[in-house]
Amino acid sequence: MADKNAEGGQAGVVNGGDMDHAKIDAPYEYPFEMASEDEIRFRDAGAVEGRPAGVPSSYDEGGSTRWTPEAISEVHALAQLGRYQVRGYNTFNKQLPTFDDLTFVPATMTRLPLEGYREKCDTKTVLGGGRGLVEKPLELDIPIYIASMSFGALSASAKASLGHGASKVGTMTCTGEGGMLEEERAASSRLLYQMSPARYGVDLDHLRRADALELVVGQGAKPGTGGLLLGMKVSPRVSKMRTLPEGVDQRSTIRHPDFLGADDLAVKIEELRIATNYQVPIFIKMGATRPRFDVAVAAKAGADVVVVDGAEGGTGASPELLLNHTGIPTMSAIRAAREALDECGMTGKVSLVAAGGIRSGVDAAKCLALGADAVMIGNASMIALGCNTPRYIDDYTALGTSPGACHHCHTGRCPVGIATQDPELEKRMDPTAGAERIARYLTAMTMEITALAKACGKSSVHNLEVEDLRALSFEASAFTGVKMAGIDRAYDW
Amino acid sequence: MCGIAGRILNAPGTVGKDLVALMAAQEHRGADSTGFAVYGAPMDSGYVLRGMGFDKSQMDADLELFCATLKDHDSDFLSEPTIVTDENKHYCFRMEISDPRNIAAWTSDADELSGRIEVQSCGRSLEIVKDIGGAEQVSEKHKVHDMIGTHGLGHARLATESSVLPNASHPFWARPFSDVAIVHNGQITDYYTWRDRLRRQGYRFLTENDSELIAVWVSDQMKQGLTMEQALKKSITSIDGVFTFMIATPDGIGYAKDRFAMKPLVVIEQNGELAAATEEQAVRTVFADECDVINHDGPSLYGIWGVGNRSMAA
Amino acid sequence: MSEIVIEVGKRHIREINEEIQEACKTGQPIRVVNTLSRHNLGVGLPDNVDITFEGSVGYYCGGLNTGANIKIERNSGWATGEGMAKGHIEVGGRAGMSCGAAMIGGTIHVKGDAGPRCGVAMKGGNIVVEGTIGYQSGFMAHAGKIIALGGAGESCADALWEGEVWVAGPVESLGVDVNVVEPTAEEVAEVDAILEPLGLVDSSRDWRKMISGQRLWYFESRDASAWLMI
Repeated sequence: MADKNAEGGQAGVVNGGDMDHAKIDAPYEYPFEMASEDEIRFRDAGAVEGRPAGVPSSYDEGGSTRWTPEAISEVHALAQLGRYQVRGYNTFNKQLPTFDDLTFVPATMTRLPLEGYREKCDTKTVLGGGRGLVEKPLELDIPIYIASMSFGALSASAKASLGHGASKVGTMTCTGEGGMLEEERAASSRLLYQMSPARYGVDLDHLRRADALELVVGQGAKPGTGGLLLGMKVSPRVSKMRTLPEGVDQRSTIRHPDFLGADDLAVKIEELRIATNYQVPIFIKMGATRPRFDVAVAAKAGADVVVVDGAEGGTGASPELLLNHTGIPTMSAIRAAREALDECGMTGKVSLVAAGGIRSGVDAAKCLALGADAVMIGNASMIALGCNTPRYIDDYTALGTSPGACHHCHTGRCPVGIATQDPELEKRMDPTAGAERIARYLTAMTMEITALAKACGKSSVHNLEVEDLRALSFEASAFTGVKMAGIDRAYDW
Repeated sequence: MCGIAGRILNAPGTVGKDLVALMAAQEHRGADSTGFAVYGAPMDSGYVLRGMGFDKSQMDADLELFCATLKDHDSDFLSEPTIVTDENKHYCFRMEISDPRNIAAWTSDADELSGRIEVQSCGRSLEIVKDIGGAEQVSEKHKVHDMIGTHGLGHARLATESSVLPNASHPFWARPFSDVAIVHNGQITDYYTWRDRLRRQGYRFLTENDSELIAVWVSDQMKQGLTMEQALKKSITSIDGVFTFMIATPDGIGYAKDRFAMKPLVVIEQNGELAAATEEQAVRTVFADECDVINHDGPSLYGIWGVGNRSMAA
Repeated sequence: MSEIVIEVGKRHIREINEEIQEACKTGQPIRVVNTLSRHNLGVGLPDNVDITFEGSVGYYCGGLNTGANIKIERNSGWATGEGMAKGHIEVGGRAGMSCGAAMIGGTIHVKGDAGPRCGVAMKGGNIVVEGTIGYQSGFMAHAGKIIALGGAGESCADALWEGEVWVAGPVESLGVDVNVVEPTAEEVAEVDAILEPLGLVDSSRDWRKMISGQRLWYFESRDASAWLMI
C-alpha cells in the first residue's frame, strides 16, 4: 500500500505540473458506448416510471421520524374520540432498557461455581421480618410471588388458578384492589390483601384473614393515577364487591381517603398493626418514579416491605399515555431503592420487592442481583395461564388483534377467559390446568434463578449481587451503575 | 412530610420549653431532624446569628474568614461566638454582631462561604436552632428548653426529596430578610420553577428544600409592597402543591393553607396565648385541660396571629 | 354493671388497645380516660361493647369497628370510624377530616361540625352531622347517606357514586357532577328514620338532597365535555 500511494502521489505531481488547462475543460467521453437508461435505472428490478428503483421507502413507507404511522393514527384517534385512549397490558415505549441489556458473569477463576445440576441453592425468602415487629413474617419457598391483580381485572377462575398454583410451590398471591375473592382466599396458602385508595370492600374481617396487608400508593403502569376498570368488566359480582353501580367505568382514587402523606401514613400503619394485632407484615406498593426518596420515606414511615413497580409493569386498563410515558425502568428503580435503604439504615429492616416487566427466572435473577429481596410477576403469570395463546383466533380477530399481540384486557373480551367477567369466555380458562401451569412456570423460573446463582457460586439466591452482572449497553450501565462488560467500569458521568 | 408547631405567649416566657413539648408529641411524623425558631427579647442594635459549619476541623479558619466578611461591612462580633459540637462533623454557632452597613449586602458576601459555614438565622430577636434527631435530642444539645421568648415555631422533619443533612431542616430563615422564619408541612410541586425565578432576582437558596422557597417568596412579595396578609392570600393561588405553613416575624405568626385542604392545622387559643400544631395531641401537651381546639382544616385558609397587641401589617 | 376504666396518658398505644380488647371480652362498659387526643384508640372493636372516650381523641378512633357502641365525649381527629362495618359512634364535639372514610355500615353521629371530606369513599351506613360538613364532603361516596343538619362547605357532594348527601342549611358550593333533587316524602321519611333514634327529627327542615349527575360515571366520547369539568 505504502509503495502504491507513493507512486500514485508522484505520478500526480508530475502530471499536475504538466497539465494543460484546455484539456481539463474538454467534456469527458467514455471510451465505450453509453449504457441504456433501462440498465442505469435497474428496470429489470421492476422500477417504475418516474421513481428510482431500490429506494422505495420514502414513497411507500414514509420516513418522518415525527409523524410515524403510530403518531398519525394517535392523532386520528384523539380527534375522533375527544379523549385519550385506554388499553391494557404494559408499556409500548421502545426507549426503555430491557433486562437483556444485562448479562451475568459467572464464577470462573477468581470465584468457584457451585454444581448447577447437583448442589443446593437456597431459595427461601422471608419478607417483613426485619423490624422484629410482626408475629408472622411471610416465609416464601421461592423469591417470586404473584402480583396484585384484582378480581374484576381478572376472572374468578384465573384468580383461583393463581392461588392454587402459587400455593403448590409455596408462595403468595395478592388480591389486588377489588376486595378479597373467596375462591382466591380458599386457594391461597398465603394471600396478601391490598388496601387501595378506593378501599373496595375493606373491613376488619378481611384484614384479619390476610397473611399480609398492602397499602398501594401507585403502580408502575400508571403511577400517580388510580385504578381503572371499564364498564364491560363491572359485572354484577364485581359491582357488589366494589359497591359500584353495574356497568360504570370505574376510575378509582389515587389519594387514600384517610391519610395524606408519609407523615400521616406512619399513624395509619400503626392503626393497621393494631387492627391485625401485630400479626402480619405491612407492604407499601408504589410505582417507580423517585424511588430514591419515595422508598426511604416509606421505610421511615414504618413499612415492613416496600414494593417498587417499574414502568414496565402491567395493568388491566390504563390511559395509554400513562403506560407509555410515565415512570422509570424497573432495573434503575431497584438500584435507587436499594441505595436508599442502605443510606437510611433500613436494609435488613425493610424488605424490597421489585416488579415490572419480569418475564423469566433470568429477569428475576437480575432483579435479585440488582438488590431486590423478592420479585413479583403479573403479566408473566397471566401469560403462563394462557394469555395470548393461539386459540379462539376469531375472537382475537374480532378485537382487531392476534395471538402474541393482544393487549385488550380493558375490553373484558379476553379470548382466553383470563381478563374477563363474561361467564362464557371465562369457561375457556380451565382453572385446574391453569393452576398447574402457574406452578410449573414458577418452578421453572426458580430453576433458572438457582442455575444462575450456582454458576455465580452462590448457595442462596439472595447472595446474588451487582458484581455478578455486567452491562451490555451504555444505557443499562448508566441507569443502574452496573459495570460495563469487559471494561469493568460503570458508565462514568 | 412533617409536623409543625407555633407558640405565642403574652409575655416573654418558656417558649423554648413549650416548642420542645409540641414537637416531641409529633415526633412520629418525622425524626430525621428537628428545628426551632424562637423570638427572644429584641436587641436595640446588632443581630443574633445562628448557623452551622460543616467541618469542625476547619472551624478556626471558617470563623476567621467569616469575621473578615463582617469587618468588610463595618461589623464585628459583639462577643466571642458560642460553639456547640458533638460526634457529628458539623458544628453549630451562636454569634452576636454589630450592625453591618447593609444586612442584605453582608448576607450576600457571607453566603459566599456557605459551603463551609452557613448562617441559618439573622435577626434582632430571631434565633433558629436546628439539628439532626428528635425534639428532646436537639433540645438537650442546644438547650432549647431554656430559650425565653414571646413566640416561635417548631418543626419535625421526615426528609423527602432533599437530604437529611442538618442544614436542610426547618425552620428556614427568609434569607436575607432579618427576623423572618418559616415552617412548612407539605410539598410544593412547582418548587423548581419558583426557585429559579427568585434566583434570577438575586435571592440565594442554600438548600434544595421547598420550604426555604416559601419563606423567601412571602418576604419578596412583602418587599414589593404587599402586606403580610395579602402575601399569604396570594401564596394560596400562586404556589402549587399541598402545604400548611406558618411564617413568623417579631410581631407574630401568619399561616396559609393550600386550595385542597390537605394538611391540618390545629390551634388552641386562650387569653391571647396560642399553640398551633399539625396534630391536636401536640397542642394538648401545652394546654393540658380539655379546652376547645380550632381546626383550620378547610381549603385556602390564611390568617395572622399577633403577639400581644402588635399587628402584622408590615 | 360496673365500669372498667382504662387510662391512656403516655402509655404505649399497643398496650392500651390490648387492654381495651381484653375489657371488651368482659361485656362490661368501658371508660377510657386521659385520652390526650392520642391516635388509634379503640381500633377494630368487637360487637356488643359500650365504650366511652372521656376526652378528645386523635386519628382513626373507632376505625374498622365491627359493632361496638362508641362514644367520644369531645373531639375526634382524622378518619373517625374509617372502614367501620357495623356499630354506632357518637362524637360529642367536632370530627376531624375524613370522618367515616370508606365505612361500609353502621352510624356515625357528630354533634358538632365535621371537617373536610366527611364520608369520603363510604360504601354504606350513615353519617349524621348536627353542624356543618367541610370541604369536598361525600367525595366519591359509593353508597350510604351523609346527613348534615347545619350546612356544608365548598365542593359539596363531589364526584359521587351512589352515595347521597343531605343538607339542611347553606351549602357554600357544589362539587363536580352533582344533581340537587327534591326529595320525595318517602325519602324524607327514610332520613327521619335515621334521625329519630338520635332525637333529631325536625319536620320543618328544608332538605337539599344531592346525588350524582352520573356524567362522570361513563368514559365515553359522546359526553366528552363532561371531562372538561375536571
